[in-house]
Amino acid sequence: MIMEKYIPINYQVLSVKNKLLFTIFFYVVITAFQLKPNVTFGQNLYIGAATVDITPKLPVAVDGQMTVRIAEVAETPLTANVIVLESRGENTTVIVSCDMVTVPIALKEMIQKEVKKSLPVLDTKKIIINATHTHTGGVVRDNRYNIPEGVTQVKDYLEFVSDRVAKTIVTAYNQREQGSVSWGISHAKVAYNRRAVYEDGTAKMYGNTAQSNFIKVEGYEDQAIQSLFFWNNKGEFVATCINVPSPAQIVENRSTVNADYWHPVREGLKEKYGRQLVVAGWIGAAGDQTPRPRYDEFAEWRMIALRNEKKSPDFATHTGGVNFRNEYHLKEIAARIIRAVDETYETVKIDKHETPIMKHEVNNIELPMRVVTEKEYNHALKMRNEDLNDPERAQVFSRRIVWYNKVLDRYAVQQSNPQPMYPVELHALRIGDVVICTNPFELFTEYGIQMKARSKALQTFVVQLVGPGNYLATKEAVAGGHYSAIVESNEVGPEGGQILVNWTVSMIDKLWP
Amino acid sequence: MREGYIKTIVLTCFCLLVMSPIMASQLYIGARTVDITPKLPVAVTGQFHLRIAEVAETPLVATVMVLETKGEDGEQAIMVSCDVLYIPKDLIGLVRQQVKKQIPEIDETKIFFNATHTHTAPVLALEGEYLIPKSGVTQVKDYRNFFVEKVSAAIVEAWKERAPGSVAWGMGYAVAGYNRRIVYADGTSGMSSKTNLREFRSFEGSEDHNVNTLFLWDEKGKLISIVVGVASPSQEVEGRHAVNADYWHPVREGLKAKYGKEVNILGWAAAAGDITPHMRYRKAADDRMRNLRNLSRTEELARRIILAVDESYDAVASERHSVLEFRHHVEELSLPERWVTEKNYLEAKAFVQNAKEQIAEDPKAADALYRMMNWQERTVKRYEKQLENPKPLYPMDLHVIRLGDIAICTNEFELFSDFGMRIMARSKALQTFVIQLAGSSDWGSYLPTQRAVNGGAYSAVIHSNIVGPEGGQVLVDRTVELIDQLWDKEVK
Repeated sequence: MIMEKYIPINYQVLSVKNKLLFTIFFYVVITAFQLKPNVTFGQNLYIGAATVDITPKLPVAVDGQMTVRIAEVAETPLTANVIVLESRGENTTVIVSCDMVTVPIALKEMIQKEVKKSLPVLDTKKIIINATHTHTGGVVRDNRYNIPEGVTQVKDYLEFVSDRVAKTIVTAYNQREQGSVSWGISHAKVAYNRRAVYEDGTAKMYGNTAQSNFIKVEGYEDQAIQSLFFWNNKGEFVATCINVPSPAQIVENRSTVNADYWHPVREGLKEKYGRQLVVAGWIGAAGDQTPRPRYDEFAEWRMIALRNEKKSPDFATHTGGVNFRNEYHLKEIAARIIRAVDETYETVKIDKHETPIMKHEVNNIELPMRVVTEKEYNHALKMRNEDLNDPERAQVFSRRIVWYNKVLDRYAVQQSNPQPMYPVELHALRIGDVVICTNPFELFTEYGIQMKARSKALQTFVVQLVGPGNYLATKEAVAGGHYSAIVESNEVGPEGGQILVNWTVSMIDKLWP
Repeated sequence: MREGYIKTIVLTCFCLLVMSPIMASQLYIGARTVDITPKLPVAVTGQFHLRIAEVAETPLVATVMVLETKGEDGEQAIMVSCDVLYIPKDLIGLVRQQVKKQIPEIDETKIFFNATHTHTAPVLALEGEYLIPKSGVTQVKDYRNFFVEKVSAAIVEAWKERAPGSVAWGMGYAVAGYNRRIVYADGTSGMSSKTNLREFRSFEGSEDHNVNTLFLWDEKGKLISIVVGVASPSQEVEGRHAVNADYWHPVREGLKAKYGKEVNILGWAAAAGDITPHMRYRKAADDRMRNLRNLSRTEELARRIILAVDESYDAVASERHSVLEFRHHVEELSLPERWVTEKNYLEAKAFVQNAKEQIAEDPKAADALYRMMNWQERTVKRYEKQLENPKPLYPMDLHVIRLGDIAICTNEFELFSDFGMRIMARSKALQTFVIQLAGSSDWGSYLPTQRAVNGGAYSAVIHSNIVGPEGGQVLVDRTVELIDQLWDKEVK
């Protein structure tokens, strides 16, 4: 048997050495992380969420078409959905999604001012307010329509909304509690490009695709449905943001109050996940999109009808177009979105983040305005006068007169300032691996795709109409012409659109140092 | 007076003829699926370089569907969907011949094929694609014989077993295809090029996310066939040195698991020359979702397509048609070929010369160069042909079918999506199933839009296109015209 050699151990010395080694190791690790540019530590996430009814007092003028429409009926409630996110001790962001056509700057400022009164600590610049673009919400843009007496006036409605939304932000802020977040992506066919291009290079919004000179739809359709999910510290699903690159304007022509497809989306999700759920609807870059099909209409309609009536409508006797401005189509589009959200939720609920990095940048920049040519000025002048000189048309088309007047005003400004600039506020919010970037326009989808393709984020949520809104068309669209790509529709043109993309991408880049 | 009567009678007869309804008749259906997996090792086609597959990761199949109505006004169509890159026309001729021999009453012109465009299936063109080793690898002629034998036998069996049945059509959607042509700030385009660049502006064309479906039942109500039309080529695993049916394999397996293992599934690739199943942006987000679901990319594509099929089935399964209008028009359509310029010719000629020299110096260089050299040599030959015939025409077999409320129309190209959309938007049918790659003059050819030609890059350069945008519009117009004619008559 071989005896093992006894080696005496000096425990005291070893202990000191161990401590020294541990200290060196600790500092090396910390230094390494500090030197590594991409490593940032997130803080605990706090979440507060609440919904508020912003249905206007009836009768009310509804916003979105050229003509004045007075709603006597509210077919669905209109809501504002508020989510407060706080990365403890660092950032607080407020997300507000509103059932309205756009978010005028005046309304945003009213809300900020009200919130500031109750929450002086909150940086109100970091309130992101977007419109779902329903065309059946109360008029929020002052001096656009001749609204008769006896009908809710714009000023009153703005005060009502700002008061309600501000109070709800305060409530959500005060109720915030530690929670977690996840994100995901799925698809639903909700976006249909609404600009048809013809053989001669012209384009037309809602142009006929069945005619022999139809060449293509002008731009891309983005069918991604991106979602954010928020849970409280009890693991209850409390809020979601859903990004759909198609505006909520299925029933856009009605003279009623209606939240459009977001109402059945919210109701469907609440039915499944509980009434506590706050659903914020975000519209992606969708200036050239519609939620209604542009070809194969009857085939789509048949499938929808079959799901509702278990019987096909009669194709043999059908003539003309299909009217999708109805309850079945609202239900259909909502079902598609809900299915996408459901499958995303089921997939990502195992990947919750309690301490995501959260950074929120707000930039105010100026974009070159689209220049009004003399020809465009003369056209606007002629058209404005035709409406103005007919008393009946002047009442019905008061909005259109304002639309032409703005072109005339711009042309007048150009006489002393040949390249006027358009101020915009942009947000870029990083939450973990994803980013939310906003713009105030009805942004043509291609710009959104550029942002997404160039973004460093895992997912890029583009949110349009965080602001007063007007179309921002592509170069191809401007060349093709027609509503949404003519000077009356565009305060900023393709040149500005490209600057917007580049600026947004650089804002995102800064969030991933 | 007498002359007047005659005129009236003739006019009445003509009107009655024109207005005579397309008679609805009982539909007969036959179906078969046959394994066409090659003997290994085998050269697989779809890339410029030679690839030898030593393994079959999935089987390859050909799926046959026979439709017939009987009687004086009877009609027939035999459709064969194949897990291949393309179907050479001469091979189609051999199958037709073989079938005709066994069943003389079949109108062999009414047999048409389509390729799912998997890039991991055997070479089918007799010559010109690759210098395949003469031994140790399945030879093209042997695979072609095997293919003809198997497929013609399957057609014969499906024909013999045809029996009264019913059909329903539906539509769903799935994001399974992405436009692969990327437009940059200077107006140029790239195929499958980068989008994460400052110069990136847009995708060049549209994407069609509709998934058209047909469901066919026998008299007892057993589901026997499903047709799935997807505007995306099945080339997710296109680079592999393996045999693989790509996303159609998990689609078929998933549908069989749900609808029965005997169901025959036909994959029809709709107009998708500029479409790919590969992600062109936000790939990381998509990959994360897929990984969380523990699915491969082909399985994920299949999941989406199956969801669309399921949704359609649930909606339309109760609305079956056993007696319906069925017409099948076949014609040879002459399409103006894309013009080869002198510059195209000179560049191609120089390339071919250079490639030949490289291969002469190092025969191994043929693995990478041979197909590309022949690709460009075709352009040289076209130019030389043009000198004799300045208006060359490409003869294309065009099939247009009316089946109840739907239309089915074929073309031989990798047809850019916008052309398909033009057909669908203008069609009088409730749904229009566009099928691309229904026969190819050799290894297939893209048919690009004018915008694509202007942008350039692979798939829109002269070597990629026998027919150009002008011919594309002729194809669209004639197809729509034929569909219109099938709907012009009163339907009884």
